[in-house]
Amino acid sequence: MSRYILRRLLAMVPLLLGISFIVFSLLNILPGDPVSIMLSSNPHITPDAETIAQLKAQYGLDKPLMTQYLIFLGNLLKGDLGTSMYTQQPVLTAIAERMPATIQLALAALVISIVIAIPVGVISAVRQYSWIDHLCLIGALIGVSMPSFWLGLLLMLGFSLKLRWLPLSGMGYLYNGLGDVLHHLIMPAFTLGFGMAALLARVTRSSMLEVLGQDYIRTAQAKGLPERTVVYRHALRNAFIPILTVLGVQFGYLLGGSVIVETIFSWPGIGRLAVNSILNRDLPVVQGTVLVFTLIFILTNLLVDILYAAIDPRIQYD
Amino acid sequence: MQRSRLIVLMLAAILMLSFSTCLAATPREGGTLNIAIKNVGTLDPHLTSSDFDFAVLSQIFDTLVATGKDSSPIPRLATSWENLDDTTWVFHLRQGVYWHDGNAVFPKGKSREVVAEDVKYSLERVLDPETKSPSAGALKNITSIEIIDDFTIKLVTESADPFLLDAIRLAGIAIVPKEAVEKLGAARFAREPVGSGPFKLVKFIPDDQVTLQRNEDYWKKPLLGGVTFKIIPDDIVTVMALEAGDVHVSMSVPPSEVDRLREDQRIRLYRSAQGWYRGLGFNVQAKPFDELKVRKALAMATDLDSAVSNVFGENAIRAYGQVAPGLIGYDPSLAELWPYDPDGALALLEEAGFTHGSDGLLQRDGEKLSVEIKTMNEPARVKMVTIMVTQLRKLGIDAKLAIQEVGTWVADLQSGNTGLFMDFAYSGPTGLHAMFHSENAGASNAHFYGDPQVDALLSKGSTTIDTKDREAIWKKAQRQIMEDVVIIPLYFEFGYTAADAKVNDFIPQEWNLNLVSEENNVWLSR
Repeated sequence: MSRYILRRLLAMVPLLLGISFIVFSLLNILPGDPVSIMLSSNPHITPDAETIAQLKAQYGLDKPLMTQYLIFLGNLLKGDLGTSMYTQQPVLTAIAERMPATIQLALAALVISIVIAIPVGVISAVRQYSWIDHLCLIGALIGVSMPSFWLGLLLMLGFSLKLRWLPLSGMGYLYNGLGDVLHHLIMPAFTLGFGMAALLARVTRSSMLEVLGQDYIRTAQAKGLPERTVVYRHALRNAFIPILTVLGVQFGYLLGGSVIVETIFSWPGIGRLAVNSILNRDLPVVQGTVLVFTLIFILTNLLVDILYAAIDPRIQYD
Repeated sequence: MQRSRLIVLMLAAILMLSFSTCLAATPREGGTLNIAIKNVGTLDPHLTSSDFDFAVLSQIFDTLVATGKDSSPIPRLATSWENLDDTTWVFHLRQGVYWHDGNAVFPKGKSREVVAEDVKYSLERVLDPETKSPSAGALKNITSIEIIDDFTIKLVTESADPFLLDAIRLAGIAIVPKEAVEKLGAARFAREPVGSGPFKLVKFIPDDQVTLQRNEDYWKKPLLGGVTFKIIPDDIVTVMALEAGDVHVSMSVPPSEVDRLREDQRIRLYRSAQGWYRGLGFNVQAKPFDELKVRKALAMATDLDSAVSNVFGENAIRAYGQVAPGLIGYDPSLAELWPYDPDGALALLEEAGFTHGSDGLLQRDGEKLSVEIKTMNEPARVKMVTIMVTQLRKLGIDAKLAIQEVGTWVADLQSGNTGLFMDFAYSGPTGLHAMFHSENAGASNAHFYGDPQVDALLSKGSTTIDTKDREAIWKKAQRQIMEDVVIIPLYFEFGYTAADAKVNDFIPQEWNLNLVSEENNVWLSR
């Protein structure tokens, strides 16, 4: 097992290098440079050609592409992701500062989606083709197809503007009490979790249906075990592998920060950092965030693979 | 009996009402003003050119000069200034202004006075290439900075610079303490800035909020107890936050929400004093726009007056030149140059050799008259250009709309990969020079226009201190540019700030955001 993990970790190195090169090239193919964009943002400041050229040189943007990339790689090996052109902050600090917000939101959304999706999926599998199954199908369809920005705005309109129960924007902090954290967390987490729940419920349903048709389930039922035990202990546990796969991939996405939900709810997470840096052509930050995204994604996948073995002892690596 | 009781009640009501208006008029101390702002990047004033950052920075830092209600410079850190001659400026600093204390640099009660040395240090820091300040260009005319005494500083410019006061009132050239920058380092200073402004920093959480608290020792004691900038990136959510009472002020109001907010009694709308220039530009070196007749025809071909009033209503006025009302060089008489005359436009195009082909489209030597208007994706601009494209097509011009992402749009403009395009919006007092002087071609002059006579006028205007003289030169240059039809001016767009009716003495952001200045002191009523 440990050899397997080591192998997987080593395989990450070329992957990360490749991705960093692709991102670097893409950003350089994209038209627009950070200096001109920065200077065109304020109508009071009228930049002249000289100022623009001078700033470009100061940021090293006048060097050949390959040189710029090699400088980046050299710094990366030293563990330095560079500094933001726009805020002059070290990229690693910028990412580290926003990670807790994203993790908080991702975990909450994950919990909400599991709490909704697993029971819904199980019930619609057990009561296949009943009215409750159809109702769940419609619910899942709405969940998958409703854009998160729309759901978010609707929730805000109802719970913040009309009922005044929940705050419209921002994140809560522990020093203001756990209540403050939950208060701010509910709407964005639900918005994010709802769409995910829909997909997860469908996967749970189909996986459960497959398992429920197996011989050992019939055996369990024939033994006279209570229905609840059959469904939750015998069936669900065996149906869990595909569910876990979906959960793992989704969680990876969530940790990359949900740009839309973070923007709508003014959540200070990593998704907004990535988008702002792309809009500003803040190259070091884009590079840094993409590398971190990739790393997170690979690690969650690895974790899911390890969890497979824990859930199903038949799965073995090495 | 009944009637007399009614009269007494009414009298009492009137009395109470007048009493309450009396109360409302008495400034109240305390309370935290919550301001919704789109983005805050950095709190190091010398590293940013963003209006949003400036709104926050002008609370923490002092600039030498501030902007008054009528857009003219008013004292801030400098109480007065004078021109010894065309190139020599002397600034007299306010005495008894202290750096914020209770931070990592100045412990509580251990602050020191802001002196001329600080001004010198700050200007030099902006000019130092190592700082990478986007504001450096605005100061490059300065050749010497001389300290006369602790509260007097002399600046000498290479040539006469009428725009110096405009430059130094931007928060991008705020005065910072050397100790703080050196002790904290640039990265930490950008997060825990130490200034001398009316509010001091409590906490900056990136992408979430900036919390400020009143500077009790400021030369004009702020009435507000504190200010919190809540960073809300989405415009619609900002307006919702204002309506829900989560914030008191919304710094950017999308045009689509203006009319609705105007109806809301709990909210006051503030229109910016100045309208921002928006217009189309020609790349005068690209075919067929290198021909004056073609440019002129396109300028006459669409009904811009009604397009502007239909798209914007009260939120913009038609522009006939680049210089906005309220700025030196504004020239309403240019309106005569821009008649709507589609027949005249067609006649001009025929003179230029274009004829209608069998497909109904204008062509010359087998080539269609194709006009692709490039614009960044901003709803109002897209609407305007859409109307123009529709009208141009009716005349048989093969017109198209190209909506671009900002970075692409900027790159195309600067590389000259254009024909007709939504122009840069440099609307400040140096706008004409930036957009039309040949030395800025490929940078802020995306027209690649260069006329020796205009160049000479713009250079002369940029070094003329006397406003009357400069106005005459500026007008002459502008008229020449308009006669050459380098641009099709569209409109001057006003910005809106919306604030809760509880916010008093508020002046919307112009250059900087003045919450406490010689002219105002914002306060919150109950």
